[in-house]
Amino acid sequence: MITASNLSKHYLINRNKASMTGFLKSFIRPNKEIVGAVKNLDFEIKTGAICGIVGLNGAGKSTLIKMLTGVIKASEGDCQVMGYRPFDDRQEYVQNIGVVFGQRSQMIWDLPVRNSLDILRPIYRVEAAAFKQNLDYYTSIFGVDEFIDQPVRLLSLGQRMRAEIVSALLHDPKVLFLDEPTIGLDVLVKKKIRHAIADMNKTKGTTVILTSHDLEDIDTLCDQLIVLDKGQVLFDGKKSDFVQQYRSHKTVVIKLADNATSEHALLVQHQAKLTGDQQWTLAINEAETSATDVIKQLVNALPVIDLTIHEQKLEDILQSIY
Amino acid sequence: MHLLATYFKIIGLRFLGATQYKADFFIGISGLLIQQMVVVLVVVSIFSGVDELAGFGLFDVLFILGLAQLVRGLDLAYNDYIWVEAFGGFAQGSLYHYSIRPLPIYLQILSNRLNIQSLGPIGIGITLLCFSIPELPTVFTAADYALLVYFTTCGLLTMFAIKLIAASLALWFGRSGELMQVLHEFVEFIRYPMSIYALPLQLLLTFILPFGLISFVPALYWLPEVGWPLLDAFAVERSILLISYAGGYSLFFFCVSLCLWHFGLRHACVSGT
Repeated sequence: MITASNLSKHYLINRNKASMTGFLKSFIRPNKEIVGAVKNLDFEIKTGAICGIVGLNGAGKSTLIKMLTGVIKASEGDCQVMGYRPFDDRQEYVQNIGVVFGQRSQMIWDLPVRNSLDILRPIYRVEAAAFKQNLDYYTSIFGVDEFIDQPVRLLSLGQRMRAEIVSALLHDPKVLFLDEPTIGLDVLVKKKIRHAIADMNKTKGTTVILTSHDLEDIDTLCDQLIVLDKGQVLFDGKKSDFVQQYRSHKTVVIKLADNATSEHALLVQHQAKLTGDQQWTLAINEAETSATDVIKQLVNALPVIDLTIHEQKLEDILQSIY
Repeated sequence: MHLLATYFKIIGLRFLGATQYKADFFIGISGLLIQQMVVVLVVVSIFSGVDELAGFGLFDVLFILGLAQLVRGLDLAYNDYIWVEAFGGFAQGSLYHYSIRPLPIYLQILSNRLNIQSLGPIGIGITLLCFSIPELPTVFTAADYALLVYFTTCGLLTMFAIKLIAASLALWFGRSGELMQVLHEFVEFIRYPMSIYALPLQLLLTFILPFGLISFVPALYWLPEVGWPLLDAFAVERSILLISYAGGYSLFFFCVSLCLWHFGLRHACVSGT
């Protein structure tokens, strides 16, 4: 459904010094440099997937989203979404997608949210009955119905963001692009948005492309992951495969019976740390040791009454690979 | 038709939004209205001392002024938001919003604002035309009124084109408002007969920034006794020359501006989150 092949975007950057001399020199000897924002990207996203695009600042996430939404033209390569070439077929293509840029509003500031939503019906040429059905459904799952008659300028950031997402969905887009949808929001609003996106994806089968610096968004929602680093794809595949491939540590927490000796040789051998009353925590580097073997040893040798295994969080794994 | 209907729906909402600030609304209208009245008073006071200005009588000048104000007012009404884009709007990412809606980008820019302040120049313009037309040497028939609409449309096309050319540069450089402002300053010259200015300025306003066709050229059509050296340079009948110059030149500028705009959209280099 979404394919990118050899997709690249270059920008021409002025490298002259930011001073009066640099300004004058730029006329005589312009020092320009071509900088690649994204380079030779190849990937495929299937219909109905929720795909997370992650990377550090400047990794090329927003540039990629802008190329996929038809906002900017690729310098090289090709991308197709539902058979459309986003930039070339813009007007017809955007009829089928919804886009939310987290840091920019599309609502009419001085009027109630309802006005900003209603105007989308003629813009996207949606039938009245279908529009009403979507309006009821989306305002309900995103909780926008609670403040739909309030002027946009009086909304909190969280309320406005929920309204923005609803506004991107009322025409039943087949693909929804969310660029930092939870930026600056509190945990409760984030949770509500994540829940609504998952619900919508399940009910309507909408494909979702999501970029976020909040990896909890990615971890909760996405089944596919594209990891970008300096404009190149570091990983493209299932999130579970990524975790499997890059996860290096598991943390095991064991609780021993009250009568157990406090300094057991096995615990010392595995560099376990006492983290509570008879509670020990040990990190297992799976590259060196099998977690299953270590756990077997511990359970056989010690009076274990409780055992918990913590997988590395996506955030920790990403931190470790950058 | 659908685009036009959508435009009017959006602009209706924008208007509704603007009316939420009632004080701004009335101050805006009355501010420009007073400014326009001062301009008229200046013209009337000039003519209290002289009978004519370069062959133009009081009502001839009021006709020129009326047409100039009407065209400027109409342009201000529907095509004001492009100033915001030229002064850095594109650089701040507005183009992204326009690009993700299934409407032509310029139509979306137009539908961002209906400038109510334009009621001042439009009102003054129509009033001046109503007072001056009966005093012109030509008796206006239905065909003349149709021609007046034609010249007004040519004037609007020219204003639109010159602003679009300047605004298109913002697609490359991020900002071109200052240039647009400089070019727009020349529109001040069209309040009075162009023949009172030096020849280089007349040539500039006729061929390079053709604001002259907004009010002066139409006035020449209805004032057959008034001469203009540039007219004599062409061996074509006066009325045909004036009509075809206004239509042809405004259309040419309009096409050039659209080409530049579309070329700019394909090469826009705004970036960043």
